[in-house]
Amino acid sequence: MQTSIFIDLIILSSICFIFKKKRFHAVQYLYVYLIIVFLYCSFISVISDNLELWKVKEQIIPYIVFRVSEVILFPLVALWFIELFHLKSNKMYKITLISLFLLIPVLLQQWLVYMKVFEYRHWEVYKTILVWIIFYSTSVVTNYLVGKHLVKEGVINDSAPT
Amino acid sequence: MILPLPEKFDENEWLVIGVLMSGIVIYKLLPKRFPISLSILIMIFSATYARAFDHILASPLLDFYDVMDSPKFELFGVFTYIMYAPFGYLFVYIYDKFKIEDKYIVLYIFIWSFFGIGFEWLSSKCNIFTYKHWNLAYSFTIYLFVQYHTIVFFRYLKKKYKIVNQY
Repeated sequence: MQTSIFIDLIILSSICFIFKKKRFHAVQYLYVYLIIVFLYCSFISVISDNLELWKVKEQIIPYIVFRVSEVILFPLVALWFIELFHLKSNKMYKITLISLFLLIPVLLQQWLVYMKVFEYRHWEVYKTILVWIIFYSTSVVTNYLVGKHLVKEGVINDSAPT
Repeated sequence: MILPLPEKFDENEWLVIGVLMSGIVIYKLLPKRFPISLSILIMIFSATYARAFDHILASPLLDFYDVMDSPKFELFGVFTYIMYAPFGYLFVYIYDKFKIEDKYIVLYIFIWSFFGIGFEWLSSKCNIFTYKHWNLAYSFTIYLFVQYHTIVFFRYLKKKYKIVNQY
């Protein structure tokens, strides 16, 4: 029941993102998505296979839930972040948003742990926060650089947000 | 070690380096056909697709094969995925250059899938892949799937690039 709710959440958040009016060019989102998938999969390999700090349950349903969250849900969180990050230039808004978005991966991981999809071994929550600071920074920088380049190539107008 | 170094610097590492170098040379030699952002995106798409598939298929539980010298995710494993980038670019480049018609797409994907398993056979001989519960027939299916998606992805990108700038 819990796992199906989790998968439903992934599907619904994907649908919401796909049909939402977008702020940036599709190519910018694709860059961010693909880079985050690559980095996140590599991060999980290092954490779970190399260092064995996380142990993914070796059963088919938890395994599927974990893999789907890796390639869809967590990269989607990064996409939502860049989308909302540029919504307002207000400093207070940005601080609140960053705090909230640092909490989201922590809560999602806690949910996965609660569902016994995986378990922590010598892993503290602050490390998740540190890792996500890197992911969000990578997303914002990638989005910015690709946007600038697309303007240079004439794919998007100068006035479009980058 | 976060990303283990090769246990022994042998044929698999050399093959990865050789293919990467060849990929760079081919990219440099080919006349530029697409905007650079599109070329890089196609390459990232190929590398990420390979990374995600290997991550799912080679991880514990399924554990169909190992990449490079051990079951762990190695430093040269990262280069293995980057190695797929020029193949993706070349696949799309030829598709676009020769304006492969829709009726020939199946044949085109079929030929590339054979090329893919040919290269994978060489990779397995050089110990880039060590099969446990896997064989080349499964890889062929994966190549059909991935190459179909690469074409769909490229066509989507072409539409997106044509909105403002005709290339």
